[in-house]
Amino acid sequence: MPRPRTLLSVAIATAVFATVASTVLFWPQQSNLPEGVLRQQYERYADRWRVENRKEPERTDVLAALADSFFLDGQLNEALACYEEIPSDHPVYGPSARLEQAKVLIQLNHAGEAERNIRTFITLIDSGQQYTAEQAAQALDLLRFLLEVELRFEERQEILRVMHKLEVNGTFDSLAYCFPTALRWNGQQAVLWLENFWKEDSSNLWLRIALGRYRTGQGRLVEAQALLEECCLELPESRWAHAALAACYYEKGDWKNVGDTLGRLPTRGRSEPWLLLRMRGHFHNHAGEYDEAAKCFELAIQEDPANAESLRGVAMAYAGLGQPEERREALRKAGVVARIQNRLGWIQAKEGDLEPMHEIIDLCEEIELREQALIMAKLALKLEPENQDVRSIVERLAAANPEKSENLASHSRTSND
Amino acid sequence: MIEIHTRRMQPRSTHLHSTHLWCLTAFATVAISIGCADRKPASRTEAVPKQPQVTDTRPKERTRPSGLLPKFREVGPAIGIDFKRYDDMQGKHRIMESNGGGVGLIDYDRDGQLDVFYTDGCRMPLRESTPERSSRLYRQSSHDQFKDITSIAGLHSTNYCYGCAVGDIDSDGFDDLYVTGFGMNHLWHNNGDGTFSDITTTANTQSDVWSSSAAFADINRDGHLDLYVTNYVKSSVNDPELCPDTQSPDGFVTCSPTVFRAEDDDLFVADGSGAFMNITQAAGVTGLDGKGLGVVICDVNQDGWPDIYVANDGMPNFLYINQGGDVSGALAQESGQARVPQFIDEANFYGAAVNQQGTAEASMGVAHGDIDADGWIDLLVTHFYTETNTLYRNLAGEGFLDETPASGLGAASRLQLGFGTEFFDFDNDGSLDLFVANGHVDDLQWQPTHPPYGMTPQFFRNDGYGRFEDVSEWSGDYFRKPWIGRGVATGDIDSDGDIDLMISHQRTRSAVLRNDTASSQSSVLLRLVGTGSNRSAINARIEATLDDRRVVREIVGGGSYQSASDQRLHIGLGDAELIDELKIHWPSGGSDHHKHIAPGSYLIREGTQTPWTMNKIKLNLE
Repeated sequence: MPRPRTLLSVAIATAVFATVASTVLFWPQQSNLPEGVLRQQYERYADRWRVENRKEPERTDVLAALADSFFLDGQLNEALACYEEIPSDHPVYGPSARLEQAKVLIQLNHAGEAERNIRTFITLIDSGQQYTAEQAAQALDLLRFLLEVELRFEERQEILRVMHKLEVNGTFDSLAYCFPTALRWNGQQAVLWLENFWKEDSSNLWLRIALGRYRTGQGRLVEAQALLEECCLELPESRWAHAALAACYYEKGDWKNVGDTLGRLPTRGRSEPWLLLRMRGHFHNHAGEYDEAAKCFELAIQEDPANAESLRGVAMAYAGLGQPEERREALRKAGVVARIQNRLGWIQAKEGDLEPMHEIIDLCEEIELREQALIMAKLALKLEPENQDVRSIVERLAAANPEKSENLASHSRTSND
Repeated sequence: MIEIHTRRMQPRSTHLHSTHLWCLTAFATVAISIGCADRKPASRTEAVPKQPQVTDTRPKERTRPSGLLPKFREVGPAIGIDFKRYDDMQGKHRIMESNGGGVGLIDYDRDGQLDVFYTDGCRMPLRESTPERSSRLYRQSSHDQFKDITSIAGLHSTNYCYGCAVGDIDSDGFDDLYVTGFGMNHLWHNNGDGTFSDITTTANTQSDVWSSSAAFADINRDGHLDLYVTNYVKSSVNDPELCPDTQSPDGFVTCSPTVFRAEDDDLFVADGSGAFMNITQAAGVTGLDGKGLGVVICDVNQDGWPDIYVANDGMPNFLYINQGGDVSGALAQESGQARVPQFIDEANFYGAAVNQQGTAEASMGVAHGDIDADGWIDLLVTHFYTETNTLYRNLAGEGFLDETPASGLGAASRLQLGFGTEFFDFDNDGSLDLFVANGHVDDLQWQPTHPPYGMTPQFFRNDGYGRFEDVSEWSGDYFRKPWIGRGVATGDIDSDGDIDLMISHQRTRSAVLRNDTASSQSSVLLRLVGTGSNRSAINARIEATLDDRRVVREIVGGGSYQSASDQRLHIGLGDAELIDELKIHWPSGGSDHHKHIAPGSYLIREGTQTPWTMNKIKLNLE
């Protein structure tokens, strides 16, 4: 029988060996885990995956499960760390990882990174990677949200167009699609989102331009001017930045600086930000250059037919050009758009109330917004499929408006300044 | 707001139709090509905070403006006015609770001193009698002392009242009162002996809808005052609509007016016998979707016929241009002596329906006046939080131009919610300055991104050319505190030659602001009395020549919000010693000329050659 001292020595040696062995074997793996992830967590999810799938998990299998779990538990940084380690080209998890990562990033107010991840997701599915319809809808909705907060209405219009074609649009998406600038844009919630985004990435140019526009909409013109002048200095050819700065000066009634700001840009191109078109139009009206004003506002109306500001602007131009009938017609349309706007607010306040929707259909027809009328009628039918009156309206409008002409903006918007 | 969901990441089978795939492919091509501005990666941070943490980068201090600044002092309790409106706020946030009341200035006893009338609410349902609540009349018994004489005057009304209008409807020399309310309006005839009688029914001016502001004016120029009543929205009298909100501590929020149907306004024409006829449709007052809150009746195109401007909440405003003349036919025959003028809503084409962005704004109160001294009446309309108040400059009667940005009134009003408003000359320099009462319509303090409920009022000083500077924080203690401001009336309460302010509040005592500005400049106060025109001389217009300046003023019907200002015309002389020439254009079409009018208070009767210096006649009601 071995002596107690010998047994003790053996036990100590065994323990030391086990410690050294485990350190040698496991230390590299512990240090390979995403930040915030504990070895025990990893092992637990690996075991669970193993039992569920009856095979040995790969690292990405476990990370994907961990990421989901962290997200559900609100451990956003840990979730982000896990998603980041899943490569985009992973055949199973690549696209999903980018999409989920985008959601986490939005929660963390990293708008720019979130947008990049969404666009990566879209690129991946375009290259043939697997995805679900729900994921596609979510990606579009997230991107729509970001563009909306950042007041990038032209790009949002493209997203809404795709959502519309895929029939993943909700009620408010349809309203925004038909009347992209008629809904209030400087509400408290939108400002709060943008401010939180900007705090996390104050160098992001889009966020700075949007913040400048929101500050203008809040009457905080000193701040707006400082922000936007900085943007224009950094990117002297940015039409978006100059449009926002011109709008700030316009709010101040400072026509000289409106003119100077617009004068720093090349002459009006074929494709311009909507705000820039309107600012150009306003300035030309103020300067008595009614022909140019009319052209700017007419272009703006082509892009956004339900923009009352453009309609009123072109009316002023027509007055200057001695075209009273055209003026009257433009003002008539502007007046009807104002009444549509009120009903849009009604729908927002009482979702599901079809009365204002029906009235919007009538008002759209009154001013020949037939495509908008058809979309609103289809929306009404979706909400009230048994309503034969609405069905008749849809059929009538559809017959008068073939699907291929359902194109609310004639140009593909680009924001590459 | 989007909902961000998370679920297990195992992919499911693809269910999209091939068309959808094509769409996504096309989208992807577009999506990649757009929005590729250079962005730097953000640094990782903690989880998003629950409350906004935004640094306020606004300048903390503004430089004190140069020149004479207004000085207003709250004197209500000291002079015996302690009115606090009752709105029956019981936590249900009913929409009718949020509009507040109005205030009217009326010299009901013709003693030469202004008396004050406040409208009051009551307990709802409306048919419940709440005898302890009633609109209040305070009589000025001596300089700066007021006494509540509501009961003596017999002005006891127990319904939910909103606005008031003042005018001498029977030309007996005593101003009468029209009081609007929810489901019940009252026409109070001044008996001339210190009492009033309710002649609503006999005069055919009853209404059972929600009425807001009202205005007297002689729209058909027959010498009798007619009446325009703005009606707001259709709402249940005894069972008001509620808007539940589970996040609100009370469980409710105030319903937005967008979800209510508009109530049509009423136009009553006097038939000459003391009664009125409702000629709304016959006169062409057929504006659609009008949710009227404010009204002013003035001659915007100076064709001699009063026009009607209506501020509609969230809907395009109306500008009914008076076409003059009268309509023949059954109604004209039936009305006997009443002439029915024709109106056409030209607000859209005159540029006064919406702002320059084409947006129909909230539109509560209306201020009027020639703010740029070009001889034409301009208009300012107060609006909602994140909207600007909108200044419509009159383009020589051909239309209006939204000149809000250039006026300096835009940005300063974005984060305010304006109600009652008036242009008046605070320092007698001859230019019209601006006061705006602010206050939100709902207490949303529990929301993370809540606007304030109480708001500071604003005072803007006019440079004489229609450009305004916000001098609120130097205008007195009252301007540094938040209030829930509603109706506003202006007038020389203390007969010292400058204009004072009366403001109706919600939740707190209403305010009486005495103008204590140390101005060295004088004024002329004119009380015009029609003989061929309506006795109140509403819509009389004066042109005063002072040195090289011309001052134009008009006695209007209505104005502000649910309130009635002093109908005497105040003309600040500036550096001039007197008015060189005064031309009065009476509503009857006649005009009078007067010369060399020194500072002071005058009564001018139509057709007379000499203005009478005002003497104060006391009527002892004790």
